[in-house]
Amino acid sequence: MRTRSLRWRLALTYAGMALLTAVILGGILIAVLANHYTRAEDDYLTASAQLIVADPPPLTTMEALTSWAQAAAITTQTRVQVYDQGGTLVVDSGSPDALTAEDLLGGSFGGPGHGHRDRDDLPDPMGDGLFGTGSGGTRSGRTLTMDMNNGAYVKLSEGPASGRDALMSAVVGWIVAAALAVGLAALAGWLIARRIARPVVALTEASDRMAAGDLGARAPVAGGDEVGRLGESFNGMAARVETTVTSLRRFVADAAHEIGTPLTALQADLELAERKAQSDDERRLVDRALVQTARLAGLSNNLLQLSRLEAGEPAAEAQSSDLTAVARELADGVASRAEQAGVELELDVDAGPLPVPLGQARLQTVLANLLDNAVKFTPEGGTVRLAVTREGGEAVATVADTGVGIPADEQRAIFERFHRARNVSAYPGNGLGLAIVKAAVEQAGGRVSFASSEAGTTFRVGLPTA
Amino acid sequence: MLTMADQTILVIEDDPAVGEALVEGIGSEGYQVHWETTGGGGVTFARDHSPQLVVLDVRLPDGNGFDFCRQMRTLGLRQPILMLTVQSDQMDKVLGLEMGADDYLTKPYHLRELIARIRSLLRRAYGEFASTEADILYAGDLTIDRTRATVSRDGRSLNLTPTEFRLLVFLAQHPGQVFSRGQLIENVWGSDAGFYDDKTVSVHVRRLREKIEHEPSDPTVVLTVPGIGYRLAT
Repeated sequence: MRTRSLRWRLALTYAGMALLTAVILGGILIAVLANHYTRAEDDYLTASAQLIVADPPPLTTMEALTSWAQAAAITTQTRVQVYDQGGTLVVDSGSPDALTAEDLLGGSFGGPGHGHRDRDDLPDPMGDGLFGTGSGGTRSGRTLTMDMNNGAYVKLSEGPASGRDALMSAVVGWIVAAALAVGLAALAGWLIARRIARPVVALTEASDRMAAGDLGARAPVAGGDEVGRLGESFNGMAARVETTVTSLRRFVADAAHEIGTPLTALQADLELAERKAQSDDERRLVDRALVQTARLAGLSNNLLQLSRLEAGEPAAEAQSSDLTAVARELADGVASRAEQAGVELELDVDAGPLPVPLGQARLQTVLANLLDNAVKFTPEGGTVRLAVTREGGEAVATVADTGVGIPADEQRAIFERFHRARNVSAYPGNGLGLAIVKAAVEQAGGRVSFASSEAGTTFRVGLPTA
Repeated sequence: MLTMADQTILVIEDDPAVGEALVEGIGSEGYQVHWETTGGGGVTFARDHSPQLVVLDVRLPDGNGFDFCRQMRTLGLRQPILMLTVQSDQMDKVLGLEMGADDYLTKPYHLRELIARIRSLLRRAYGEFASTEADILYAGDLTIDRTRATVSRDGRSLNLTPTEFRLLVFLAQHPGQVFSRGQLIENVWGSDAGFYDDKTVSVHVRRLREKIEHEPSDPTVVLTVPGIGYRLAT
């Protein structure tokens, strides 16, 4: 599937939007949570500091001071540091995790009031289940300093972390939810796009078929939504195009048909005039008129054939014939002309029966047009070769000549109606022969190709075997 | 035996211009021509007068040529019927032949081709009609007089060399039969045969065509049979 297709683009857009929403929502949620827990930690530190400040340290010995600090650290589960007025660290309890009751009991603990200092006075670090457990629990990165009246101050840090686990769970949950949302959004996008794209793809196919010449192509119309209405509109347009083209083709066929009768009368009269011509001069003029009448007749005949083929009008005759037999028959027809033109006709038409899904008259037209061209455009002394072979599941007729060739820059246009290469303008013809060949062969599911150089041209007609 | 002037040809054609041209063109060959502009009139004439051949247009004001063709066959008329169609597809040919026509010609056709077909149909139906001069042969729209050694078309004689004349006479004596170049050398050149090869025949045929064909680049009288030789068109 093309990455630029609607399905992929819509799926990616939806997923991107879901991701963006998740990032914004998750970011805000986590920021709010983090802020909330930071405040809780700060509140805890403040409450702890107030407890400590309300119970000033004994200023007796260093040991007593240390014991006091450690006791305070254990009680508040924070690291307690005391600085003097000059900002010099006087005592440090160390990390509360490293402290045990033995430290406290082993030391000369004499801090007054330590008995009534109770954790109940602190905001319960465990109460709401948001604070980390005492030892081994996560520690907060927050610090707090508080003056102790005398100018010295206490600094608390490494308090119990608040809500880290909840925060982590929230982050994990958020990631999972975000991933799920992105996935679902992508799926939804893809499904919606497919819903939209399916009729669009069908419409595109119908449009392509129509462009390729199948005027009967119509888009399937499902539902009354915008796409459905587009399909209806397309079908309406297609119907109009078909009517117009068909009536134009019928007009051409009818016109060509109607021209036939007066042409017949004209031709017959000219032939009578030729017989009765009194002088060579008269005869020459009548002959010239006859040549042009024949040209007009050929043109009207070709127009009739082509408009019938393009209208997809099925031939009333059987839709199958033997390529080998038709090729032989045509070789007989063209042999006299080739000989008279001094062109050697080589034949390789000994392949067994090759039934092809093309009626005899049309197959004759195809081969006759190619052979006529080959003989016409090959100078005296040249060769025209007609070969019929079976290549795999394909019946192939090739007509090769040593003629004037098709100029490289005109090769694209040779199958176009009325197109005549500039190097053949002196030869008779109306430029419809190859258009008829192509239309007839393609209608039978075959293909016409050619290769041409100044040394000659080879046409190849490949037809499925019937 | 019928002579040419005894042969009546019925033309059923509604278009006045085409009809007139046909009457004049076919008549100029020496046949009696009767012209009807409707299918019904044509069938009545055919029933009452038994023409030797019917030329029948497909599009008629009072119906379809195929139907009139079938009507005539139903009436027991066995004369050759030549149908004139405009369609180029073989559809009409198939249909026409099924309905009992003997041949068909697609408009616009050449008068001379129509006359050649008429002649060939008459020959097939009634045999070579009696000619007062036994030595007259026909090839396409050419008349070959063996006694006077002339070939003519529309009363104008064509100027052939003795070899070309012998070649044409030999082919005209066996219309439709295919002869190899070797056979032609033997039969046309005879005693001198040893001096000639296949190339000679081709050269003479080409020159002969230049003189007798309407359109030498598209021969319709002397035809090449690829890989074998030549035959006279029937």
